[in-house]
Amino acid sequence: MTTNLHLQRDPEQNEIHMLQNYAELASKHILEIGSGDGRLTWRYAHLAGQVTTLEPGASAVAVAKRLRSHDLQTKVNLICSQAEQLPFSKQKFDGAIFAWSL
Amino acid sequence: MVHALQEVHRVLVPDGYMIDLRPVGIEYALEVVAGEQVISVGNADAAGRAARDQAANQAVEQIQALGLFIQEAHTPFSLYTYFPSPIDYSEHLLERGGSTQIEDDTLANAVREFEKAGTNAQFRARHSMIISRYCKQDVPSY
Repeated sequence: MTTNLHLQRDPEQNEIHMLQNYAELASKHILEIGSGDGRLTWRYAHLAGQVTTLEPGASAVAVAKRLRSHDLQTKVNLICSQAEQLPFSKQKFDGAIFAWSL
Repeated sequence: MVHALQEVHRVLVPDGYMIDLRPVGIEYALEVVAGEQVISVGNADAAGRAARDQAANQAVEQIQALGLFIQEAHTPFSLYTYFPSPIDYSEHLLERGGSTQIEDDTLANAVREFEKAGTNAQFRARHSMIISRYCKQDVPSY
Protein backbone atom coordinates (compact mmCIF):
# COMPACT_ATOMS: atom_id res chain seq x y z
CA MET A 1 0.00 0.00 0.00
CA THR A 2 1.24 3.46 -0.88
CA THR A 3 2.28 5.93 1.80
CA ASN A 4 1.63 8.83 -0.54
CA LEU A 5 -1.28 10.42 1.25
CA HIS A 6 -1.57 13.35 -1.13
CA LEU A 7 -2.79 11.61 -4.24
CA GLN A 8 -6.40 12.16 -5.22
CA ARG A 9 -7.96 9.45 -7.30
CA ASP A 10 -10.92 10.39 -9.47
CA PRO A 11 -12.04 13.65 -7.83
CA GLU A 12 -14.30 14.11 -10.88
CA GLN A 13 -16.08 10.90 -9.76
CA ASN A 14 -16.13 9.51 -13.29
CA GLU A 15 -15.67 5.97 -11.97
CA ILE A 16 -18.56 5.97 -9.54
CA HIS A 17 -20.85 7.71 -12.02
CA MET A 18 -20.11 5.05 -14.63
CA LEU A 19 -20.70 2.32 -12.07
CA GLN A 20 -24.03 3.82 -11.05
CA ASN A 21 -25.07 4.01 -14.70
CA TYR A 22 -24.17 0.37 -15.30
CA ALA A 23 -25.19 -1.37 -12.09
CA GLU A 24 -28.62 -1.42 -10.52
CA LEU A 25 -27.84 -1.12 -6.85
CA ALA A 26 -31.02 -0.17 -5.01
CA SER A 27 -32.35 -3.09 -2.95
CA LYS A 28 -29.87 -5.44 -4.62
CA HIS A 29 -27.40 -7.84 -3.04
CA ILE A 30 -24.05 -7.08 -4.65
CA LEU A 31 -20.92 -9.24 -4.65
CA GLU A 32 -17.71 -7.27 -5.16
CA ILE A 33 -14.68 -9.37 -6.02
CA GLY A 34 -11.15 -8.16 -5.35
CA SER A 35 -12.32 -5.26 -3.22
CA GLY A 36 -8.93 -4.40 -1.70
CA ASP A 37 -9.28 -1.91 1.14
CA GLY A 38 -12.78 -0.97 -0.01
CA ARG A 39 -11.81 2.21 -1.88
CA LEU A 40 -14.69 1.81 -4.35
CA THR A 41 -17.01 -0.09 -2.01
CA TRP A 42 -17.49 2.88 0.30
CA ARG A 43 -18.50 5.00 -2.68
CA TYR A 44 -21.51 2.88 -3.72
CA ALA A 45 -22.46 0.70 -0.74
CA HIS A 46 -24.93 3.20 0.66
CA LEU A 47 -26.91 2.89 -2.58
CA ALA A 48 -27.15 -0.92 -2.48
CA GLY A 49 -29.39 -3.18 -0.46
CA GLN A 50 -26.55 -5.38 0.76
CA VAL A 51 -22.90 -5.73 -0.23
CA THR A 52 -20.60 -8.70 0.22
CA THR A 53 -16.96 -8.13 -0.65
CA LEU A 54 -14.35 -10.75 -1.35
CA GLU A 55 -10.64 -10.02 -1.11
CA PRO A 56 -7.79 -12.57 -0.95
CA GLY A 57 -5.38 -10.26 0.88
CA ALA A 58 -5.84 -10.50 4.63
CA SER A 59 -4.09 -7.20 5.29
CA ALA A 60 -6.35 -5.39 2.80
CA VAL A 61 -9.41 -6.89 4.46
CA ALA A 62 -8.13 -5.75 7.85
CA VAL A 63 -7.75 -2.20 6.51
CA ALA A 64 -11.24 -2.37 5.01
CA LYS A 65 -12.69 -3.43 8.35
CA ARG A 66 -11.05 -0.43 10.00
CA LEU A 67 -12.33 1.93 7.31
CA ARG A 68 -15.90 0.61 7.29
CA SER A 69 -18.12 3.32 8.69
CA HIS A 70 -20.58 2.65 11.47
CA ASP A 71 -23.62 2.92 9.19
CA LEU A 72 -22.19 0.27 6.85
CA GLN A 73 -21.37 -2.29 9.56
CA THR A 74 -24.44 -4.39 8.86
CA LYS A 75 -24.77 -3.54 5.18
CA VAL A 76 -21.26 -4.48 4.03
CA ASN A 77 -19.92 -7.94 4.81
CA LEU A 78 -16.13 -8.23 4.26
CA ILE A 79 -14.78 -11.70 3.52
CA CYS A 80 -11.19 -12.84 3.00
CA SER A 81 -11.27 -15.49 0.29
CA GLN A 82 -10.25 -16.38 -3.27
CA ALA A 83 -12.72 -15.92 -6.11
CA GLU A 84 -11.98 -19.33 -7.61
CA GLN A 85 -14.10 -21.03 -4.97
CA LEU A 86 -16.86 -18.75 -3.77
CA PRO A 87 -18.12 -19.67 -0.31
CA PHE A 88 -21.75 -19.05 -1.22
CA SER A 89 -24.78 -21.04 -2.27
CA LYS A 90 -26.02 -20.66 -5.84
CA GLN A 91 -28.18 -17.75 -6.98
CA LYS A 92 -27.45 -15.62 -3.94
CA PHE A 93 -26.48 -12.30 -5.56
CA ASP A 94 -28.22 -9.90 -7.93
CA GLY A 95 -25.01 -8.43 -9.30
CA ALA A 96 -21.26 -8.96 -9.23
CA ILE A 97 -18.60 -6.28 -9.61
CA PHE A 98 -15.00 -6.75 -10.63
CA ALA A 99 -13.39 -3.36 -10.07
CA TRP A 100 -9.74 -3.30 -11.13
CA SER A 101 -9.65 -6.99 -10.32
CA LEU A 102 -10.24 -8.95 -13.52
CA MET B 1 -9.74 -16.38 -14.08
CA VAL B 2 -12.30 -18.28 -16.16
CA HIS B 3 -13.03 -20.47 -13.15
CA ALA B 4 -13.71 -17.38 -11.03
CA LEU B 5 -16.15 -16.14 -13.67
CA GLN B 6 -17.85 -19.54 -13.72
CA GLU B 7 -18.22 -19.27 -9.96
CA VAL B 8 -19.77 -15.83 -10.33
CA HIS B 9 -22.23 -17.30 -12.80
CA ARG B 10 -23.18 -19.93 -10.23
CA VAL B 11 -23.87 -17.46 -7.42
CA LEU B 12 -25.84 -14.94 -9.50
CA VAL B 13 -29.61 -15.02 -9.67
CA PRO B 14 -31.18 -15.68 -13.09
CA ASP B 15 -30.74 -12.50 -15.17
CA GLY B 16 -28.14 -11.30 -12.68
CA TYR B 17 -25.44 -8.99 -13.97
CA MET B 18 -21.68 -8.74 -13.82
CA ILE B 19 -19.67 -5.54 -14.11
CA ASP B 20 -16.06 -5.48 -15.35
CA LEU B 21 -14.43 -2.14 -14.51
CA ARG B 22 -10.69 -1.79 -15.14
CA PRO B 23 -7.88 0.22 -16.68
CA VAL B 24 -6.75 -0.81 -20.13
CA GLY B 25 -3.83 0.05 -22.37
CA ILE B 26 -0.11 0.13 -21.87
CA GLU B 27 0.40 3.84 -21.29
CA TYR B 28 -0.95 6.45 -18.90
CA ALA B 29 -1.11 9.97 -20.26
CA LEU B 30 0.57 12.52 -17.99
CA GLU B 31 -0.84 16.03 -17.88
CA VAL B 32 -0.23 19.36 -16.19
CA VAL B 33 -3.46 21.22 -15.50
CA ALA B 34 -3.35 24.98 -15.11
CA GLY B 35 -6.80 26.49 -14.91
CA GLU B 36 -8.62 25.52 -18.08
CA GLN B 37 -5.40 24.57 -19.83
CA VAL B 38 -4.31 20.93 -20.03
CA ILE B 39 -0.71 20.38 -21.11
CA SER B 40 0.30 16.92 -22.23
CA VAL B 41 3.78 16.11 -20.92
CA GLY B 42 4.23 12.52 -22.07
CA ASN B 43 3.27 9.04 -20.98
CA ALA B 44 4.05 6.60 -18.22
CA ASP B 45 4.86 3.13 -19.48
CA ALA B 46 2.43 0.54 -18.17
CA ALA B 47 3.52 -2.23 -20.54
CA GLY B 48 3.68 -4.59 -17.58
CA ARG B 49 -0.09 -4.60 -17.57
CA ALA B 50 -0.34 -6.03 -21.07
CA ALA B 51 -0.28 -9.69 -20.05
CA ARG B 52 -2.93 -9.15 -17.39
CA ASP B 53 -5.14 -7.22 -19.81
CA GLN B 54 -4.82 -9.98 -22.36
CA ALA B 55 -5.70 -12.66 -19.80
CA ALA B 56 -8.77 -10.70 -18.67
CA ASN B 57 -9.91 -10.15 -22.25
CA GLN B 58 -9.49 -13.83 -23.05
CA ALA B 59 -11.40 -14.85 -19.92
CA VAL B 60 -14.43 -12.71 -20.75
CA GLU B 61 -14.34 -13.92 -24.35
CA GLN B 62 -14.27 -17.50 -23.12
CA ILE B 63 -17.22 -17.19 -20.76
CA GLN B 64 -19.23 -15.61 -23.55
CA ALA B 65 -18.24 -18.42 -25.89
CA LEU B 66 -19.44 -20.88 -23.22
CA GLY B 67 -22.78 -19.08 -23.22
CA LEU B 68 -22.55 -18.11 -19.55
CA PHE B 69 -22.82 -14.36 -20.06
CA ILE B 70 -23.70 -11.97 -22.83
CA GLN B 71 -22.27 -8.48 -23.03
CA GLU B 72 -25.00 -5.84 -22.78
CA ALA B 73 -22.96 -2.65 -22.78
CA HIS B 74 -19.40 -1.41 -22.91
CA THR B 75 -18.05 2.13 -22.51
CA PRO B 76 -14.53 3.53 -22.39
CA PHE B 77 -13.90 6.51 -20.10
CA SER B 78 -11.06 8.38 -18.43
CA LEU B 79 -10.12 8.36 -14.77
CA TYR B 80 -7.63 10.88 -13.38
CA THR B 81 -5.33 10.54 -10.40
CA TYR B 82 -3.85 13.82 -9.15
CA PHE B 83 -0.50 14.24 -7.43
CA PRO B 84 1.05 17.28 -5.79
CA SER B 85 3.86 17.23 -8.37
CA PRO B 86 5.52 15.02 -11.02
CA ILE B 87 8.18 14.08 -8.46
CA ASP B 88 5.48 12.80 -6.10
CA TYR B 89 4.08 10.72 -8.93
CA SER B 90 7.50 9.29 -9.71
CA GLU B 91 8.02 8.42 -6.03
CA HIS B 92 4.57 6.86 -5.92
CA LEU B 93 5.49 4.57 -8.82
CA LEU B 94 8.77 3.59 -7.16
CA GLU B 95 6.98 2.89 -3.90
CA ARG B 96 4.53 0.61 -5.62
CA GLY B 97 7.39 -1.15 -7.39
CA GLY B 98 4.87 -2.16 -9.97
CA SER B 99 4.49 -2.37 -13.67
CA THR B 100 4.25 1.36 -14.42
CA GLN B 101 7.40 3.38 -15.10
CA ILE B 102 8.23 6.91 -16.13
CA GLU B 103 11.28 7.65 -18.27
CA ASP B 104 13.79 10.21 -16.98
CA ASP B 105 13.26 12.48 -20.00
CA THR B 106 9.49 12.40 -19.52
CA LEU B 107 9.84 13.19 -15.83
CA ALA B 108 12.20 16.08 -16.58
CA ASN B 109 9.74 17.48 -19.13
CA ALA B 110 6.87 17.09 -16.68
CA VAL B 111 8.78 18.93 -13.95
CA ARG B 112 9.70 21.73 -16.37
CA GLU B 113 6.11 22.20 -17.55
CA PHE B 114 4.74 21.92 -14.03
CA GLU B 115 7.06 24.64 -12.76
CA LYS B 116 6.27 26.85 -15.76
CA ALA B 117 2.54 26.49 -15.12
CA GLY B 118 2.71 28.25 -11.78
CA THR B 119 1.81 27.55 -8.18
CA ASN B 120 -1.80 26.58 -8.81
CA ALA B 121 -0.91 23.91 -11.34
CA GLN B 122 -1.91 20.29 -10.80
CA PHE B 123 -0.28 17.15 -12.11
CA ARG B 124 -2.34 14.14 -13.09
CA ALA B 125 -2.15 10.71 -14.69
CA ARG B 126 -4.98 9.71 -17.00
CA HIS B 127 -6.07 6.08 -16.96
CA SER B 128 -7.97 4.80 -19.96
CA MET B 129 -10.75 2.75 -18.41
CA ILE B 130 -13.47 0.45 -19.64
CA ILE B 131 -16.70 -0.57 -17.99
CA SER B 132 -18.63 -3.53 -19.34
CA ARG B 133 -21.89 -5.07 -18.24
CA TYR B 134 -22.68 -8.73 -18.80
CA CYS B 135 -26.01 -10.47 -18.22
CA LYS B 136 -26.11 -14.01 -16.88
CA GLN B 137 -27.47 -16.54 -19.34
CA ASP B 138 -29.32 -19.66 -18.33
CA VAL B 139 -27.12 -22.69 -19.00
CA PRO B 140 -28.60 -25.97 -17.70
CA SER B 141 -25.22 -27.66 -17.13
CA TYR B 142 -24.17 -24.89 -14.77
